This record gives sequence, structure tokens and C-alpha cells, in this order.
Amino acid sequence: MNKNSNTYIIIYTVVMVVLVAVLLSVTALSLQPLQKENELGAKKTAILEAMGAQEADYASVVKAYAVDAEGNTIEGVTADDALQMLFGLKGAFDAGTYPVFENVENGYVVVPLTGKGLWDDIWGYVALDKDKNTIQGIVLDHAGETPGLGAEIKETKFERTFIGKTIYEADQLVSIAIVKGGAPKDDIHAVDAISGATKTVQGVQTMLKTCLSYYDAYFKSTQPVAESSEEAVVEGESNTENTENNEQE
Amino acid sequence: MSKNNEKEPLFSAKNMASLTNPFNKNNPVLVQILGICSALAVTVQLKPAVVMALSVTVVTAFSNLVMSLMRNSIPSRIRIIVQLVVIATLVILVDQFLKAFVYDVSVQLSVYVGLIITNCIIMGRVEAFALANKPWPSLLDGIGNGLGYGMILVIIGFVRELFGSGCLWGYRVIPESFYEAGYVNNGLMLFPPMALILVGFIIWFQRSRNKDLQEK
Amino acid sequence: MGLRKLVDKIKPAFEEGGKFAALHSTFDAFETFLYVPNTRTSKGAHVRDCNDIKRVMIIMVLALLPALLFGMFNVGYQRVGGADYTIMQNFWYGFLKVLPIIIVSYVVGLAIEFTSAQIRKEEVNEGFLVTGLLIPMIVPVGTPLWMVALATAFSVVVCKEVFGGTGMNIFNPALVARAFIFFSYTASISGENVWFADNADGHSGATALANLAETGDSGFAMCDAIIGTIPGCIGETSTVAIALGALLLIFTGVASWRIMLSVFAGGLAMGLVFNAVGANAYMQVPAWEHLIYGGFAFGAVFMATDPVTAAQTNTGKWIYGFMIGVLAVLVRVMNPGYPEGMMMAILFMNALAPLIDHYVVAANIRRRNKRVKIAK
Repeated sequence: MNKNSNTYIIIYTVVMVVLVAVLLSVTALSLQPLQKENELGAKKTAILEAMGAQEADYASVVKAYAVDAEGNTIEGVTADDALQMLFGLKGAFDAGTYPVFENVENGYVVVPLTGKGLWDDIWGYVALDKDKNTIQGIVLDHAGETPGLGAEIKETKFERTFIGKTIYEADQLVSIAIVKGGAPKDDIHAVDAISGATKTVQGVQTMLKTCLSYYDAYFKSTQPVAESSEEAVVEGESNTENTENNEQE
Repeated sequence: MSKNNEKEPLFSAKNMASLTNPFNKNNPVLVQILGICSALAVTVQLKPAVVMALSVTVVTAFSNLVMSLMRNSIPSRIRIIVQLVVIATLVILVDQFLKAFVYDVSVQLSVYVGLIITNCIIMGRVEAFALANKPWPSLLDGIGNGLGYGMILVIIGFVRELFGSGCLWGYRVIPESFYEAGYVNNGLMLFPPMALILVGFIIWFQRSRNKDLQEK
Repeated sequence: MGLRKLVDKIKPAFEEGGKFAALHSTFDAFETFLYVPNTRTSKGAHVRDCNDIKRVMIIMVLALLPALLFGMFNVGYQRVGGADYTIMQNFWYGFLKVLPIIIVSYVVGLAIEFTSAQIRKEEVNEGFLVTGLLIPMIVPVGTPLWMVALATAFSVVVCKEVFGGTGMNIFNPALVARAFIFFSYTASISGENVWFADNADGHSGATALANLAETGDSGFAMCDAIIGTIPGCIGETSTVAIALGALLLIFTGVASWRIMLSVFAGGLAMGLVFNAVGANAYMQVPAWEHLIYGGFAFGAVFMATDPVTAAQTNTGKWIYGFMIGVLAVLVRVMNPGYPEGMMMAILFMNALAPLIDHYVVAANIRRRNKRVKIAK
């Protein structure tokens, strides 16, 4: 048959397209479960890392659910749904659904964060103690901050400085301030900024404030009603509660 | 298009030349100046560079093979479109496999895997070689070019990761004591322009040693 | 026995066939440094002038001296308690801190230049005389020496030698060195720690530009900024010292007053545009203040006017300089990642200078063609 006749070209094209479509569909479908598992796995690892439980098995240790703006657990949201929300976090927040990941062994809760750095998106997970006040871990990541400056927010060195800090002052959610030039040593609501990365850490600060405020009602409703955790006396006095919460500084 | 009527032995000198030329005399990145974009983008660390090199080698080798097998049946009017379809299919397959089996690297490579199809090396070799040669030499040519490209990627990835992050393959190589003494990682290494300058240095080195590569 | 006789005596050893023939370029460099060469051209008409490249370079070095000397004094003055020391004490302190940087810059740069010239069997080009002094002046005093060495090596090799040596580079070599440090070791050249020689004792603080970017207020008195007793890179703080240098350069015809004037004009223009828009505190900073803070004045007088990398035609110089001023202020105000925009502006316009010249010449040719047609 003449290779350049129209009939030949059309037949050739149809056959080729059908073959390619079949090949790609079969591959994609058969590999899909593996891929999904990988994507979820990456998120699970980050959550476990924030909790400080990297070695643990996610399925047995983490209870995932979602809360609404009033702090009530949303009915019908399964653990997998909560995990799925992480793939479109801004959308989930806008829709009024806020995922929470609770460690059933030590009572830590991890909430996801999303925000804007200097050049591009930043995101992370922050783990709070049972008292929903003290930070026990934080994992931060970024899409395109400057290496050596803004990119340092990803380093353990910076993340460690958050451990032991508290986000509530009496009944007010004050979140964490990131102070340029260094936070006062006894300020339990502040950490040092990264020199030369002012805009990025400001983004982190805003991200924390905004995202934590979504969970304000939920935190308040689940905080243990004991006198000790609420009072955070700071000015000038050494704080015994501070020292027992600060294992690392 | 030379019609060779006798069977060329599988590993004849001519075939081996197809395999080895791309490493030096006809290196796709250094001499043909192809595939520069991805050479700059994925070489920030060694691991993605190696994965990308292997991916491009697989795609180039198999697209050369497939196109060579099909070369007598392709209507000339849709030749380029057929090439695109074949290469794109291979790239999608590679992408799916990466996402399934090496997810963390796939995240680092993200868009760049999909952009393999725009890598001029692949279409360049198909046009220049596979459409006019038998399948076995075409396969060898594809492997050779892919590995020649990969060699450059590994060199650049090595230098960039070592000096830009003090690590190799993700493991810290430069000891803490250096940092305490005042050594700092070179941030410029993490940017693409530095990779291009490194390619320039390699070309400089190669041309000083091979006088016949210098234009007169 | 005079110096001339001594030089003549050892000269044969460096000629063809002599013992040290391989080092001919080096010998030639020193001989022409000491004495104006008496070689004559045999073809074409040339103006006889003792003012060759070397002498031009020496005048540039002289013009840089006020800024350099003041910079050294300023290093001493900026330390804690600096105001209590005498001028000489501060100067001496600063001199000791700045000298190592200058030495490293010259040694590394000249070593590479001499080696390259020797390998190519050409004369050593004296372009590095000025670049070697510029590099220390545009870095903060706290820059580690190994970074200065690496940046100088990078600049001389990639910016100059690869393109063919002095006179062939597209980009200003001193700025390429600074850009190298800026992008490679951003944290070591910005922030709050690098501007003070006594940083090891805990002294830190922001520069005027950093303050402007954050609050719209420079944090320093106007007369301090003009005299130059504010933190900043070693040579760039004192507008007065730079002005003295500018006068020398203009008087001797070594640097183009057109470029200097147009850079300032461009900066002013962009500043005024921002004042008119006034969207944030930085935009409201009075336009003329941009000219005295940061590296603007230094860049305008010493870096933009580099004859090799600037536009060559007079009209081109006006356009080139104006765009530098505009871009520098634009980058400063609009980009939070780059507090100083001068370096970027000059490097960018370096790339565009040949294009500007091309179009100026093309427009000229078109005009003259039209005249010819009309005359016919």
C-alpha cells in the first residue's frame, strides 16, 4: 500500500493511537495503588516527624479527624478523608474543615500549616502537647526560599527552637513571635529569627498565627481544665512550668 | 541512507563506535550542545541527576529502537508527529514508574521528568540516526548518547551537591569541623547558572585536550 | 647605577633565547610599569601620548584613594566606642583590618593574570590594577578572606580571561566578584553581622538601606550619611570622598561625566516616580536620598564609568547611565530580597551596552543616509 496515501495515514494513526492509549491506561491503572500509597506515605512521615515519632507505625498511632470552626469534630470525616485534605489544604481551610492528627499514645495533636514565604509557598506541621498549648515539634518546608537564608527554616536547628514554647497567654492565642535580633531568653512565646531571612520568617510567623487561629475553638474546648497550664507568667520571673516543659532549648 | 546487505556483526567496530562516541568525541551535552536545560535543572543533587540520566537513557534507547523498527512503515507526512507520540509515551511510562517505585526522587524531579520529551537529544538522535539505521545500531546509539549525557549530569551533580550542600547522595561528606572553622556551603552552586558555568569549564577542558574539536 | 641601567642590564635574560625567556611577560610588565615604553608604531597615524593604559589606571587608583582612606577610618569609627578614639587611631585600626583584604585581592588576581598572560605569550594586562582595589572597597569589612580570594579568582578567570583578557570583558570584573560572593555566600555578606570589624565581640546592626527597606527611615542623620560615618561596605559610604574622586576623574578625562550625570539623573527620576506613587514607606523616601545611601554614588562614579564595559557612543552613554540609575532604585524599592540594587543594575546594563551602541550607530547611519539622499 502506498505509504503516503491518505487512507494509509489514517489507518496508521488510528492504530498507533489505540495501541498507545491501551498501553498507558494499563500501566497507569496498575501502578496507581502504589503511587497513591507513596503520596500518602510522604504526608504520614511528615506528620510522624512533627510528633517526634518517626519510627512509629502511622496506622496504629495516629487518629485522624477534622474539626469545624467551632471546634466540634465533623461527623462522617474518616481518617483517610482527613489525610486527603492535606492535598488541597487551602481549599479545606476555606471550606471550614480543619484536619487534626492525634497521637493516641501520648496525646499530641498535629495540625497542618500553609502559607507564603518570600518567593513561594511554605508549609508544615506543628505538634502540640496534650495541653494544646505547648509545642512539642514542628516540621517546616518551602518551595523556593533562598539557600542559606530562608531555606534554613527547614533545618532541624531552627525547628528545634520551637519546642517547649507555648501559644496561649491566659485565654489569648498569641501564637509564636519570631523576633529579629533574637528573642528574650525567657519569652515563652517567641523564638529567634534567622539573620538575613526576615521576610521568610515573617511568613512563618503569619502562617502559624493564621493557621493556629483556625483551631482556636477546638484547642480551647479540649484543653485540660487545670490551673497550671493556663497561667503563663512571664515578666521577669523564672517560670517553673517553663522549665518542666522545656526539655530542649 | 546506506543499505548494508551483509549482516554487520553485533559488536563490530562500527556499532561499538555508536556506543562510545557520545562519551567524548560526540558528547550530546559538550559537543552537540543538546539537553542543556535538564543538565542545569536536575543536577542540584547527585541522586536526581543519576535518576534523570537513567530515565533519559531508557527513553533515548527505546525510542531509537522503536523508531528504527517502524522506520519503513511511517508515512513521511506525519513523521514528526509519530516521533512525538512514541517519545511522549515512553516518557509517561518512565514517569509512572518513578512515581510508583522511587517517590522521593520523583518529587524532586517533578516537572522535569515530563519535560524529558523536550530534551533535544532524543528527537535529535531519532532524526539523525534511528530513521536511517537498523534497530540494533540504533539501540546502541541511543544507549551511548543517553549515557554520554548521563556522565555529564553525574559530574555536574557531584560538584554541585558537594560544594553546594556539603553532601553526596544525601549523606553529609564535609565534616562539621570544617563548618565550625568557618567554611560555608556555596549557595551559587545550587543555582542553574553555576551549572552552566561548570559545563563551560568541562567544554574548556575537553577542547584543550582534543585539538580537533576546536573550530578554526 | 640608575634603575634604568639595571633594568637594561637584566633585559637580555628575558628575551628570546635568554635564560628566563618563559617569564618574558612578567618582566615586560614590570618594565613598562616603571618606564613609559619607547616602542613605536610603524603603520597608521597615532597620537603620541604618555598617558597609556597604565597611567590611566594609576589616575583611577588615585581617585579611589579618598574613599579608601575614609573607609579605613570608618571601619575604626564604627566599632563600639569608636567615637572616643582619635582620627589616627581609628584609621590605623581600619587600615589593619582592610589591608589583608586588599592584599588577598591583588595577590590572587595578579597571580592569575600573570599566569594567563604567560601561557598565551602576551603582555600582562594592567587592568587588574584598578579591579584589585575596587573589590575590597565593595565588600563589607567582615567578609572572610577565603571568600574574597575565591571571588577574585572566579572573576578574573570567568569574567576576564575566558573572554580574552583586559578590554574584552562584557561585565565589570569587580562587580562580578561581588555578585559571586553575594549569590554564593549570601548569609556572609548580608544581615547584621558583617558591617562591623568588632562583630566577634557581639557588635551588630543594620545598614541604612536595610532600615529604609523595613521602615522607610534610614536610622542615620543626613550629615552622617553624606560624610560617610555609617555602616556599609568599606569604600562606598562617604559621598564626599567619592565626589573628590569624581572631580579628579572628570578633570583628567579618565571617566565619562555623561555617565555619572545620567546615572544620578536616572536614580532621581525613578525616585520621583516612586514618590508620586507613594504606595509604601520605602517609596516615600525622598528621591535624592537614594543617591547618598548604599553603593549608588560609588557605583555611579567608579563602576558604571568603566570604559570597557560601558556604552562607547556619547548618546549611548546617556541612555546607559540613565537606565542604571532607574534600575538601581527600582530593584531597591520593589524587591525585598535585594536591599542594594546598584550591582544588579550595572551588571544588567553591561550586557545591554553593546546593543545600545548598535542602535545609536544605526540611527546615526540612517540619518546620514537621509542627508545624502536629500543632497542628491
